[in-house]
Amino acid sequence: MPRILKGIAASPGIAIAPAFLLAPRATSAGEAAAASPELEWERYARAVAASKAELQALRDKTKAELGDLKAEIFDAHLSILKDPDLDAAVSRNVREEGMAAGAALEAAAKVFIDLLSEVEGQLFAARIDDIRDLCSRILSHLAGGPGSGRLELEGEAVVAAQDLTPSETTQFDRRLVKAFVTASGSASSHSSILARSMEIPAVVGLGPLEGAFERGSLLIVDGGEGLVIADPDAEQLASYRRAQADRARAKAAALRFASLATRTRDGTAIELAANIAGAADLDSALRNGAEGIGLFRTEFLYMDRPSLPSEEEQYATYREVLERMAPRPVVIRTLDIGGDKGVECLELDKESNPFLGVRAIRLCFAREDIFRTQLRALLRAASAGQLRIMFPMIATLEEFRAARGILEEERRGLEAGGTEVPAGIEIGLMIEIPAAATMADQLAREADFFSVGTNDLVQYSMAADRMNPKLAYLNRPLHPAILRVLGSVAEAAAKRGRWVGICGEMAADPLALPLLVGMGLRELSMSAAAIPRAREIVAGIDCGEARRLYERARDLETADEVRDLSRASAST
Amino acid sequence: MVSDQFTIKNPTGFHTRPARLLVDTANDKYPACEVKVLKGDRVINGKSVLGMLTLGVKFGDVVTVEVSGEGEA
Repeated sequence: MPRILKGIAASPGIAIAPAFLLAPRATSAGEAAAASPELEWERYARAVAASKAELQALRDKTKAELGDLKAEIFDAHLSILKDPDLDAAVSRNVREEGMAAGAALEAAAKVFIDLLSEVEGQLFAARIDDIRDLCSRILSHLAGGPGSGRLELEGEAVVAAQDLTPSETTQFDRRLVKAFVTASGSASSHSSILARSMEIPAVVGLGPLEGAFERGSLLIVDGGEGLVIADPDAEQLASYRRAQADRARAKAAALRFASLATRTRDGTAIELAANIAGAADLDSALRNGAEGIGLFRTEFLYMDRPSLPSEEEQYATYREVLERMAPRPVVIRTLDIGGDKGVECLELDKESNPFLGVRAIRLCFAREDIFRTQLRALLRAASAGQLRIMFPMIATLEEFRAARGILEEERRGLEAGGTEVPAGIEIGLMIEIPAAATMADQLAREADFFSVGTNDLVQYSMAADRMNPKLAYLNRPLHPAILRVLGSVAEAAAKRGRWVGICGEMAADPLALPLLVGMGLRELSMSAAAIPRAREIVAGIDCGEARRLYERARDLETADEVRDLSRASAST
Repeated sequence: MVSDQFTIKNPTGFHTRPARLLVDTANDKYPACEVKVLKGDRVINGKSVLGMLTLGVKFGDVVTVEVSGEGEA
């Protein structure tokens, strides 16, 4: 019997493949111990040796494919594996207490975990996850299975999990993963963003997956509609296979637009830019014809690593991105961390409400050393291309001035040391806090540009956590309330001759595009894969008509009405 | 026994990588020695990365390292 599950559409596309359920971590429950403590100790030693070989192989593979930094996590696991204190504790538990190996390991690890949880600071707390991760690998070997089977796919599959961390997502074989489906999460959680940049379908926020399907059940994932169909019937399969083929054809057709300049029907130039998380995303940006980078999320340089990225490392990355995109502009957003994005190389305090806490520019003010390192790397790289620097989470003019002041200090410092920094670097800010949107006219006097981060602007305007699937009904960028905010920002900036872009997920919504152009936005930044289609849609827009459409939409009452209006106008 | 005091200069404290560096040095350079790290009233085995981490050494902390045994200098 086919079963239809409804979730949140996180990344568009259709996938048809068997389910791969991310197994829960192994435990010592039901373990079969050897006949004597000495034999049991040997059993433990074999599991450790197997884990070691596996970790070394994983480290080497990761080093070759993703670089030294991503591989560091496995080095950390290897050094815990050979820890003499852990070894002594397990040995004592097995040889003197007569415990089974798995239970002995869990008991020994618990001592360290308890000690670590008393240490303040997230960085140390994150090590607890490393210990657990390593233990489950050893436990899995004790149980006779491969230790990393959790993430290793045997063939093409739809990966199903409670949730996926960015580091887990990067460990999958990209050729085999056809889609992600998760029980929790939202369209703007990191695994969703990664799925879009990997151009694979994803549905999140499905609710409990237990009992819905099994490993190997055939799944249809409709990422555009947020649907998952388990064990589909022949009719559903045929219809989705047709839709899949249609999509592939439409994509190929839209790709013809990849190499064209973006113009509206009446000839207005619109810059379609790509959102990237690192230099690795440039191929896709260039292939899809990005006319710039509208958002370089630099926080990914800080994530999934035990130490902060150095100035030299950042300089090399920024330089590469600027060089490869030149002469096209590149908006690099300074560190935007906090909230949902925990970072192990930074000890962030636990906050009861991280989205309203010390994050992004606020964190940079608290940790000026980190901020200054990034700014120096940016300024030094600036000569390689057309750099635009953007500060995130600015609430007030004072904050923008303070950030700019620090930037100018670093510029003077570099120049005093003989480093030439080009003039004409545009300095702008993200509009994502309602207070900044309200004060846009004043901010526009001092900022060179604005880029609206709609994901956060919507969440802060609606006071609705975007990670909470139960509040998805408030996460509506097309609501007239949001359109009014966007429109007033665009108007305030236009009065001062500043340009306004948009770098939220809204920029890629075909129904939002005419409204955004209509309110006067001229830079739209989105996942690279969405660019050709957006270019095709923009080519059909008349600026005058779009303006009138926006003015009508702004006066409607509900998000559904806006959607209907935009849909009706698109089909005429 | 050789002993010395250190003040931690790493802004993010003594987390995995620096801890691993010390532990690797202790194991590689002083295989036959006992290496102890003292902070406040706690003493841990300088050859144990987990022990090092549980010390929770932060930026600006002062720790004492003691090496005793063959090849201690």
